[in-house]
Amino acid sequence: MLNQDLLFSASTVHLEHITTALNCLIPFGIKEDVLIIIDKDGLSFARANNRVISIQLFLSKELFIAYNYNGPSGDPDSHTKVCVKINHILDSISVANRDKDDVVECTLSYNGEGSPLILIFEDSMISERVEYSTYLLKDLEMADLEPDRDRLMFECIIRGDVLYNALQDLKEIGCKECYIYAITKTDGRNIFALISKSQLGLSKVVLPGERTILEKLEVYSGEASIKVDNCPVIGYFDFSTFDKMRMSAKIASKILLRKDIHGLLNVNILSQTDNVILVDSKITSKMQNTSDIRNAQLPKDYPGIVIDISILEKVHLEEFDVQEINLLMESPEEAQTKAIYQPSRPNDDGKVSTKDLDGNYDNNFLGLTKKRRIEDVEHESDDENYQPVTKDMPLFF
Amino acid sequence: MSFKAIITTSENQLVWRRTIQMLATLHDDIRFTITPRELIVWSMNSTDTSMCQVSFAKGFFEEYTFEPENIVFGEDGLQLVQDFNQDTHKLYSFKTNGRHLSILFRKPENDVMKDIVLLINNTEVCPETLANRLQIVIHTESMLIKEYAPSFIPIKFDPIVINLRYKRKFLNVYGTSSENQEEQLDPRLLDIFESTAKEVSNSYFNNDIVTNLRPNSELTLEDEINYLCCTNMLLKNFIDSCNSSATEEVKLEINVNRLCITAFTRGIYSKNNDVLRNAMRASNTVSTMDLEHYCLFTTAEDENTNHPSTKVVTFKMKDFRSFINLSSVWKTDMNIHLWFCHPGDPILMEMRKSNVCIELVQVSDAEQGNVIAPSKTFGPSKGSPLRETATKKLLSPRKSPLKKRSPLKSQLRDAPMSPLKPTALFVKDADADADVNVRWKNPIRGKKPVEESAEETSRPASQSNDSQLLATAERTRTTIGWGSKSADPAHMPSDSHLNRRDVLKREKIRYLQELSSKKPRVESQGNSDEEQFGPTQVDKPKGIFD
Repeated sequence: MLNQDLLFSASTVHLEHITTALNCLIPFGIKEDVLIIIDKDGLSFARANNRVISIQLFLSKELFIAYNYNGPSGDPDSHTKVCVKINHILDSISVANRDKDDVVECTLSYNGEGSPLILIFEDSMISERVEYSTYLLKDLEMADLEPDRDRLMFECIIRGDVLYNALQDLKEIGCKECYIYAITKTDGRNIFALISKSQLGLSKVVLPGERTILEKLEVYSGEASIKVDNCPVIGYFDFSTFDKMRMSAKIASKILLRKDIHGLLNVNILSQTDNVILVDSKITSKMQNTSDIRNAQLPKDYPGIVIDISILEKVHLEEFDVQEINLLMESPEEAQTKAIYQPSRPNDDGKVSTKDLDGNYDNNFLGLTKKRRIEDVEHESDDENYQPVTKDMPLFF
Repeated sequence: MSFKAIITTSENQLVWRRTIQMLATLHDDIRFTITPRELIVWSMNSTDTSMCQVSFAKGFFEEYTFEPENIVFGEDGLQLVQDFNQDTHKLYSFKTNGRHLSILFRKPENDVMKDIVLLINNTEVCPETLANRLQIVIHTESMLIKEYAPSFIPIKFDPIVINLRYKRKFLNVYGTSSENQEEQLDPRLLDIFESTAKEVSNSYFNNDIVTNLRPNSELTLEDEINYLCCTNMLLKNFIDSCNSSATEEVKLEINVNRLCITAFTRGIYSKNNDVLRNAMRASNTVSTMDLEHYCLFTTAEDENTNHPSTKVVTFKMKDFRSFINLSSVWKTDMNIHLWFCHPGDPILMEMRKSNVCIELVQVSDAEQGNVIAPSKTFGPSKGSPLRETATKKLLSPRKSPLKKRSPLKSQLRDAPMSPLKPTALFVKDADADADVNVRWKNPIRGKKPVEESAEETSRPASQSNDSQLLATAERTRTTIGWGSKSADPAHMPSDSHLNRRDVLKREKIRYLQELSSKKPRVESQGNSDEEQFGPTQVDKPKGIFD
């Protein structure tokens, strides 16, 4: 059915894969218009909401058996824009793709402004043709959400399923607003966490810091590529907006998060098809039964679904909020030791002031904490000066 | 840390999760009380009609520390209780939103919880944001660390000690003089007495319970308490068999022969009086042979009649169902203990598994069905005759557990034990006649004032009445016998003419009574013959209604 004269035509058999990909657009409004940008490398689906979040989903031309784009002659960067409702395409595909043992080939074609977008579904028996009227909205609100790549605050690469689990958890506890917290420490312990603010107060989900999961975490001082340690970066988002990336994270193998100094979070999602289950088990088993060409592997050189999401931060954080978050992120042991160590600081200097010891006495009701303090002090001063400890001891007998 | 508890094993996590979820269905708030020995979690519904309390012993947790000494914030929750031995214990109590908790402890999607850590840090070093917050840290298999900090409100614990009261009462009635009984009690029942006694004496809240000891050994109506212990499968099967979502009320009837559980479904009608759902009653009946133990509060008189008094209690289905369903978290069978007193008094249910004890208290309906025969006999406020019968009771309640105590086991092990029953039947025979008299006396004298019938209930009075009654009986017999001559109206007393139907009925009952009283005699003789074959003799299968 390919017609070389048309502006654009492409055909594919990977309908399930396309359904999986287009499902990521659903949180951005299923009945809304989506902008399809056609160029020589493939199809991009773009959509923005309220000028604070935008998504761009790229399907490479390798996904198609045949891909033909006759752009305006000579210009390699030329592209064509067309606007359709996302649910129209999804419905058509899912109807055509339902429970058939046969291979369905889908051909898309478009012949420039004024002509409809045509989808033709063909199996060995039936050919169906669907036409959608298209019109390009003049100002399809495409917010200018481009990250400032030279002035990043942090950069992080994490496994998709882990981030998905975390987002799922935040959703279930009824998160209203969420914070992203990232810190690198000199001792190599990197922390990347999502913090939820909801009816439950502040809750945090700390993502695992293992190298295999959190592949990269770098925090920069305002100017690019100067890494800084022990300096937390906090991003503050409205969760209902932030949650729109959950569907995309579900199919992701790797996610690259970058936040720039202007409060724009850029999320790059790569879905490598080999380690992501794209279809549910019911269909898979059926596919194994029929085992035919339908089971066609995705092309070897196909790079996978690439999704790019940009989210704008809510407002700049108040100093109080920052403190609150920092306090929350201090691990409980740390918080405790800090509070306990401070009064015993003089011990480190070797000067055991009676005032300090009196202070200890005043805190008599501390009960067990008191004992713990001795132990702590013991440990701390083991290698340095043992003296103060021995002086301390009689006090507690 | 003021309090720290860690739950590690997946079974314990499941128990914890299901418990929280169940308690959250009762009321928005779940109340916690931390004691040095156990964590008590409980909740009562907004109308105060049912309460569920679960106590997790220290052993349930991998780690359990409670340091009430250093609580500085939220000291409203701190409390000192004094038990019977004048020892004081420190408690810390608070309430928090149950719905939130059940969300936090839910099973994560395609992930497994490794451990759940509960923390309260109300010490002086606690950051302000974490004061009065229950910190929950969950480590998952996928290496996520989730930390939540729902806030709580410190409260004072006001223990509702129905459980202890009932157990005390139960011990007073049944457990006190088990040693001097000539017949041996089932050792397992003795174990229950023992553990219950231990529990009552060890509780922190037994201050005014233990002092409530009965002054003398005389039992009165106020002492009535009935006890029933059965496997959770029995009740679970009942719930599964009735349409439990549409059922509102459950009626539990028990006498020495059978246990009958009835589910009531209310009918629903539309505006035009069309039936949308029929009112329905579904009942399951099991022989008391299938119960583990039971102790019924009966009088000596009740015991000897053909129609043993039935104990009835009616309560709501909803919480009962969730309570029974909670038992399914443990794969193994477990026993459920029930205590109840008069209709209208709360019913207490309990199940216990290693470190967890779950109790449900529900109000029961005060409405008395006409099924409860004994209430008629006892009357509202009786003087000495009642006392007398009540004292006789002392024997009977022990007798019934004796006879029935783990009937299956005892009969299998030592057949000679069971002849107890036949003797009981023989006794019944002798009394059966008296019973007949009483029974057919009633229709005649039904209209007589209450005082007289009350008199008759007392032993001597009823005996003296016997001759009278016999005379009456003869007269009716003659009346019937001469029925052929009844064509002569002059000889017919007008009053008997009026009561002709009654008389016929009476005779019918009498005839049936004779039949039925003969039958058991024959049967019992047969039984005693068979039982002489020895302990390996297999029991004859018993019908439900024997």
